Amino acid sequence: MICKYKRWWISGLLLLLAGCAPVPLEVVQVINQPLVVEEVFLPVTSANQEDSTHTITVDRFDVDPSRFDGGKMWLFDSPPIDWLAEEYGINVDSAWLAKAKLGALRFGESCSASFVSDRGLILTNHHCAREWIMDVSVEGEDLLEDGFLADTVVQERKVPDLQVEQLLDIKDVTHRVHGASRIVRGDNERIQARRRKASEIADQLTETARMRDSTLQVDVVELYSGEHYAAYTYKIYEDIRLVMAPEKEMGYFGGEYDNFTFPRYTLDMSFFRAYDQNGAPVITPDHYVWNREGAMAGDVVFVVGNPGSTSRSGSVSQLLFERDYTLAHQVKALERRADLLRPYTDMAALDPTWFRVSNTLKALSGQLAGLRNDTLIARRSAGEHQIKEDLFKSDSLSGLYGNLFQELDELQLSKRAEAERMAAFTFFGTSIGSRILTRALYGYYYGSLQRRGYIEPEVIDEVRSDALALKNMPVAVDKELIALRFEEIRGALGEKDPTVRSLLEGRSMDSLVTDIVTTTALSDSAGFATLLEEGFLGSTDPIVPIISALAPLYFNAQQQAQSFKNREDLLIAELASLRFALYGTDVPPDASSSLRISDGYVRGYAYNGTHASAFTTFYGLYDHYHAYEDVHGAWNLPERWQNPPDTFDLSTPLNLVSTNDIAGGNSGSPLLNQDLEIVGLVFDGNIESLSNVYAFSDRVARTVSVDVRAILSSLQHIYGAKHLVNEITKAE
Amino acid sequence: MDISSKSCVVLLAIMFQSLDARALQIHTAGNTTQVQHTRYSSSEIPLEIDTDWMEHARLGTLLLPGCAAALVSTDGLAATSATCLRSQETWIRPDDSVFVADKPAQEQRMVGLAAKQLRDIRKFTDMKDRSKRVEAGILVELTAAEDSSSFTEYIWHIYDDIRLVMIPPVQIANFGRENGVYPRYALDIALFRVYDENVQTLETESYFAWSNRTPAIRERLFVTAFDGKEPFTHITLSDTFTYNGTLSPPYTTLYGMLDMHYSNGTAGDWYFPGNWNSRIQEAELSAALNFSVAGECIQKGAAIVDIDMEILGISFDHAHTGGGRRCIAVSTSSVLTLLKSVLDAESIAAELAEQALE
Repeated sequence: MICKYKRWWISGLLLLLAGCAPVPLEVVQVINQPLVVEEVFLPVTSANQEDSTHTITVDRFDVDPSRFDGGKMWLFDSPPIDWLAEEYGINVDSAWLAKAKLGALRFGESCSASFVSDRGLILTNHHCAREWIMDVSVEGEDLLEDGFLADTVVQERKVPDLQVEQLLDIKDVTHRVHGASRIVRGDNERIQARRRKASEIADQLTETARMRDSTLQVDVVELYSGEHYAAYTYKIYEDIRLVMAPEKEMGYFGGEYDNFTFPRYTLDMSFFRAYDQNGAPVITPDHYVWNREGAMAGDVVFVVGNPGSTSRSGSVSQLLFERDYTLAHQVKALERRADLLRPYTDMAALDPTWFRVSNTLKALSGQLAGLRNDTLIARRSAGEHQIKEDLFKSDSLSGLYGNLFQELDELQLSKRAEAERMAAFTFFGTSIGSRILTRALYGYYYGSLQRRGYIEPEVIDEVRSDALALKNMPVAVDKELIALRFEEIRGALGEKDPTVRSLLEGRSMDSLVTDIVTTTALSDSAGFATLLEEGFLGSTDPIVPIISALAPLYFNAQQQAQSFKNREDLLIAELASLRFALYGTDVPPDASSSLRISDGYVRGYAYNGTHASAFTTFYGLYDHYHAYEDVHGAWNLPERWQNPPDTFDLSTPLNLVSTNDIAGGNSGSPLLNQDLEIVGLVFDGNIESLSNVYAFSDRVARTVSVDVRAILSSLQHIYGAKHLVNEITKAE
Repeated sequence: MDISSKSCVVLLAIMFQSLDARALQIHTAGNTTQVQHTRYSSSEIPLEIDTDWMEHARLGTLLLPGCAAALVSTDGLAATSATCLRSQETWIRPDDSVFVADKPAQEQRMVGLAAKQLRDIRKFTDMKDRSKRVEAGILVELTAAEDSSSFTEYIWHIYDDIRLVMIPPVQIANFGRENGVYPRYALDIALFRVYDENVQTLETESYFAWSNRTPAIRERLFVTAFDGKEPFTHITLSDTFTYNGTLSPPYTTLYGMLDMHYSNGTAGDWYFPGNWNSRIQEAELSAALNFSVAGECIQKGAAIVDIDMEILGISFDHAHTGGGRRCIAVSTSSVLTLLKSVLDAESIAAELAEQALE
């Protein structure tokens, strides 16, 4: 999702999509908006060790590294057959793997999902569906708030621009990709050559595949940091319709507060249906079967989904840089934006922005807390020390990789030297910032592309449509966001910086920003569209001189960041090769936004001085509803839930936890028992799991799912959706 | 110090005298914001609390061995932590089961257990002023300042006819067998009745009216108990109580008790003895079960009361949280509904309800 190949066109133009930010779960909501740019690392002015506003519990690791520090997100073409047999007594064969693979889906750009009936019914999270639910609401409706249920298939609502992908086949193309880069000199050149080749192979294979089925598409996936490449053939479903969504208060019960926590009481589910090109529901014999009994504590469970990348495979020096610069600064920038947005959280138009900011802040704060946990760093250091020892036992390996760690360390020093001027642009041009500035950046970029002339028209069109997809924001909020960004730029570059001086031209910050928001055409998307048509850069809009001063600085910073990243990617690829040479496929490669399977147990854990049971029930939902009544609306219940019918059994399990390894992108994944029946719907990790991005641990870190029994009984007794229950359970 | 000007002060200790180890203290407590523990002498009593209030609170609070208790009716009914009674050597019921006496005749005397009420405190500088004659049932404790320049007498009324009225089964009082944590789901409360020298129920106006509500956010409350320690001084705590990555619940409910039961597979530390499971479902499940307030309880069994002398909780444990040390209490609001629906103790419920303020 984050580093899809189809977006890599942008990197050739220095406006670099810097790849995969190491963020788990819902954080990808930020990353996957239709953005101009996303930062991977923007080093900051100085290390900041102040505590964040969130109090986060971090997993306390034993210092000894374990076999699974790198995680358990296994590839479908090299599953850990011995491990599964040894640990669970499960002998997986190709039929089992095929079944596990075919029911799973990639949903939109940031989520996972699964087929749950033979008529194309899709199960995913409510939080994965928020934007789509809003998009299918018509005048006078607020389906996000009120929920939706199609009583019959004709009432199902088609979602514009939503794509769902089913993985059919995996093929190793490493030799073809590497062949292209063997003779290329230079780090950047080699990595670009590999990616160009990968993209070329993907195009060729797609073309071939489409000759037999026009809905097929082939992606080439980079694994082991470029040591391996595999061609993934997907079936693409483009006609996706909303079938059922609960009210937001149920889908997001506990709100921002309970996000990334357990015990939890959230019905984070939604249903869609895939239709074929003739407008009929697709026939999906490969769907997963529902297990009405759910799972029990101690049961073996599997998560099949599309996790994004982690930060488990780099060097310790990289982690320290992230701790002291990148992450510390991101957390600070998000805290400032959260403080700014907090008074406006009642405004519906700001809901997606607030959700992204608060959610990302909590996640990154948890990660930062993980990095500031000395035992985590010690454990990673011990792992690195082991690699170094093993490396120097072999003359040939030490000849090849002897300087690797030193080079990584030195690279961090170079990054540090550039941190100052990059500091001002953290989250610049993203969907969590000022719409006016983001549109201006798009406008600048679009205009620059047109002037160069040699850019393919479809590339320009894509930029244009991404730019116009940005939704409006209340101008009062936008104004504050612009002022905040300008303050950050002034803070990072200093009063005397020529750009800062030209920006202000002797005016006060307030008069500058007031000027901008009162006269610019960029505060709404229609005005922006007109201006883009007429020529943004040639216009007299007051934002033009400002963005013309800022954009080059920003693109420079991005270019520098990308050059560091390319160098780092290459070194990390070497580290991956070294690991591969030492330990082989015993260790799965880092996640790659493509299909993985992860094993684990349904299991409670030690928490808050006591024990968290593996399950919660609807009784707990009502406990929270009443307990927080006077405190905050996050635990409100929609009206239909306030007095459930007598037929509704409150002791029904609602959420459950398991020890599976997940990452951002796994939202919406099915939780399967060993017979590959659905027992849950993955939607989150607990607060202790946030630091798993740096080293996997299942001591107290947990995956959080909605229990299948909660889904069925809600559909049946609260929503009157017996037809869906029948379809899922194949009852008449 | 003008307490009324400090909106965020949530814990206030008022002491009657500072010389004796068992001087009665009254603490105010709330559950948010900057917390201060301040101990007041009688000359510094905040405006809302006058000497009548202080005397009422002193007389309404009883001292049990190691614990506090609170009078809750005009007829000598009192509440404390169930753990306090079961920990007594004089404990009359060797088993862990429930006991309910819905009629006075069913009440069981706890032989050897006495409750002490601090009737008066007398200060003087000349030993000639000491009490000369002591009535039956009265205990006078004399203390002297270090330099013997002043003396204080604590006049205690000793009640040694204490009868058990209601105690839940151990499994319910200690539901989940948890210690030192919050959120919590334990009905750790017991009721007993105080009888006087004439074997009549103690008639008193100095009781705390039973409340059917939970503390409001930022409400100033008072913990009434006896402290054997040095005076409290400022303890500053964080201004919000975050836990586990989220916000802690202001209180837990009977719904939560059932959630714990079913979440944990209905067995082990979370099982319901006897017919508790089916009967509890008939109760008002949204009633508050436990709540926590910032700071110290001082003693188990300490009453948590509001400015109107209504009792909102009986303390039974402490929790160490991200927001510091907190006192955990059984909410009085769930007790009425449980007395009616689970314990068939209609007349006790009525007696408590009658005392409640309008």
